[in-house]
Amino acid sequence: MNVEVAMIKTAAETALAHAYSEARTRLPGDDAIAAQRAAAFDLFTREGLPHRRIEEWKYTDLRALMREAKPLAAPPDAAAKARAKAAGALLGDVECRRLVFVDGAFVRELSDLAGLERGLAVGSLADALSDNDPVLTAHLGKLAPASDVAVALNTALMGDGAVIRIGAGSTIERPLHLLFVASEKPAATFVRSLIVVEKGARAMLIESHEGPPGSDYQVNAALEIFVGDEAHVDHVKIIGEGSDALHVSTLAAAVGARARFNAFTFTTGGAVVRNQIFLQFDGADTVAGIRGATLIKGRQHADTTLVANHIARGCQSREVFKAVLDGEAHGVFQGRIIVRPGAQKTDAKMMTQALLLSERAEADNKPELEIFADDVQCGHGATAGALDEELKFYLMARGIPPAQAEALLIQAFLGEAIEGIEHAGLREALMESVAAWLKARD
Amino acid sequence: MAHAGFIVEFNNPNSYGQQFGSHLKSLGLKAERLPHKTAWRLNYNGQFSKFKTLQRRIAKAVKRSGSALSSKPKDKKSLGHAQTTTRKVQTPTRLKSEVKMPLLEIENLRVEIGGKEILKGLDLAVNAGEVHAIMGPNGSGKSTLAYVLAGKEGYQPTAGEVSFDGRNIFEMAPDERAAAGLFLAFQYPLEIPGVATMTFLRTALNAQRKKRGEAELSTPEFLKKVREVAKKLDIGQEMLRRAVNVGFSGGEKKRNEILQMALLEPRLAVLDETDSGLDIDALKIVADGVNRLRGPSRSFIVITHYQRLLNYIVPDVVHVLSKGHIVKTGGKELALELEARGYAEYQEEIPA
Repeated sequence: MNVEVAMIKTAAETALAHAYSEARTRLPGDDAIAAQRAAAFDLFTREGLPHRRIEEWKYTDLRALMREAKPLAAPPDAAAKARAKAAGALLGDVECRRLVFVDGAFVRELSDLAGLERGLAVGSLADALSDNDPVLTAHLGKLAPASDVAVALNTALMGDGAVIRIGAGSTIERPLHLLFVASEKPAATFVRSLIVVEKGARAMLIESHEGPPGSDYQVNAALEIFVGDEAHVDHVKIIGEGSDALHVSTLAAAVGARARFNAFTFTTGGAVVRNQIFLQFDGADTVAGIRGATLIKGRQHADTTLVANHIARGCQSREVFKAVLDGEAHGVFQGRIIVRPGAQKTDAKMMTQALLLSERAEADNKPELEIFADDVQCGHGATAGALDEELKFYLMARGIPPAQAEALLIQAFLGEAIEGIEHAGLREALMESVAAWLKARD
Repeated sequence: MAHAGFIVEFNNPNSYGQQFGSHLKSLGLKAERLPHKTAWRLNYNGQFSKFKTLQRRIAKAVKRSGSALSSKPKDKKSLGHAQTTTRKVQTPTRLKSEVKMPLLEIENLRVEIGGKEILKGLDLAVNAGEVHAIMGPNGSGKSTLAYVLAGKEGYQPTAGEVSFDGRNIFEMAPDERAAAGLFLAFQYPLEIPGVATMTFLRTALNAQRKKRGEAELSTPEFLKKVREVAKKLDIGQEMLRRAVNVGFSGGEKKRNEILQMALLEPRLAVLDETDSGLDIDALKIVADGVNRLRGPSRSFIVITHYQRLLNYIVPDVVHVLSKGHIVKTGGKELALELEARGYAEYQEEIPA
């Protein structure tokens, strides 16, 4: 006998349903898009918010953590835009082309769209949806896993974002910086971006999220990126959200043959962060590096969940994730490497390390390997531990005071992940950020 | 030949000579008059309390001396300066005495590790400029001594006193001891992945200078200094760019310890079995590095098993450490005796 069990909806789930039904008619996009949104929302209606009995969400029970769903953010007013001018200070010295989004809406006057390099096309998602941009319709939703509820919510409620195309053979020297800023008002934003990098092209993308402390705003961001054959793409995500924010973001990438793709996530902000990375190796002989550094303290929760899917043969993937946990912070790393039957000569190595600086910090590391081809090299390692007291003593015996000795060791620990970033200016900016975080410990 | 001990120096010894002599006699101490100096050396033989008493008595005498010496000196024959001063009899002669304390004074030190007593009442005094060798069988407490001086956690002093440059060493944290001029060359130097050797050296040097109120070295000054020192120790620039000791051979790690010592310019360097794991060539380079640093303001404690290192780093004093005590002290010949006869006879010895 089958029993239909209707799940009791939480306050957040109910609020989301209201938000969708109220907003659906005014969200941009034609009927096809509307249908995509509806299908996505149906998934959410059936599944509800992910909870700990779903394996991929076992350490981040979003259903319990999201007490409420904030109302959709209104378009930013002049004051909010003015305050956003000061945003992105972390990358102050790094010369990039900025695309600024305040409360999830593209703000043209704060962005730099002048003198676009040859082969670079940049626009807002809202415009692309309204104009039925063919690049968008061809690619939207093709990568981000439709079965993921966070992605489904993003598809259903997406308001704005960036749509970027880099033409074949073009090299974009200046990094593109997608800067997402939340204003004081505790609201919810759903931003969706699409980046298509054609054959042989080269580009660097920086995606940063920030907002004021003390405001419990909510961000659901998703980025789909298509990396063509022989292209070289570097993506760096900086999650510097406010202290009380909820941040769920998804990066879905498909990489062609003989290409190079590097993704790095730097997480220091947010009260609850869920960072999802889905990487698919569609073409052979590609090299990819997925790395991250997380520094959290107090009662912060940061979850990085990654799936590297080797479909084509001969690809190399390297994953290195480092977490520094202080106070009662909770760091989670889930990394799954799948090697499909045809993916012979795959070389996949994953390493996750957590450094616990206090008695009550917690690290959960779950590496997984699913290997269906027989001529491959795969490995994974996971460690969690405290600072090496012997090393600390060695430094102190040379005259380095204890706080400075710890800082040196922590920077060394994170260095292995951060040095994977090719852009020197950005590497330095991140190391400075680490130094500032360490100083603030006392 | 210098031994460990105290040096008592007077600017006008002839006047005080007899008083000093009688104090010595009453305390049962012997002193050796140093040539060309108005000083005596009292040889160390494990009698701290007596030295302290002598110190007190001298201090008292000096205090009283202002008036006492305006009278005629007792010994007319060896007047020297005294004769000159008595001509100006109106001016009372001020007596200045200086008792130079040892740089490192260890008195009756007992140390436990995990509740087990390793050092069982160790006494040692090292003066500025001296090189002391400490030899002993395995388990005698050599490394324990090195670690407790450096301040490693888990090495618990349960009795005794250690003063370094007049300060109670146990009131100083490891980094403070380093800034005060203590250096420990580790027997097993650690690898520090992710920390470049240059960064480590500069951070350590500047941290110590800062603590001492000195100006930090500018980068060019620092680089110049490192290059000079590294060259003499056959350490290439490429090695300096790598993470500390990562991928270094045993010999390279030991040379790196000496490099650090040369840069940090300590007043007391403790070398914990620096010769272990080294071949002759590496040993020579390390010994040369150490010998280049010898000088009147620098002391060394060379801890070793084997006599061979002491052919290259010739000590002023040799001590035998056995079962947590220093059981014998002698000159450099003692090391040769040990090599010939081994440690067996010292294993039974119960010190006085």
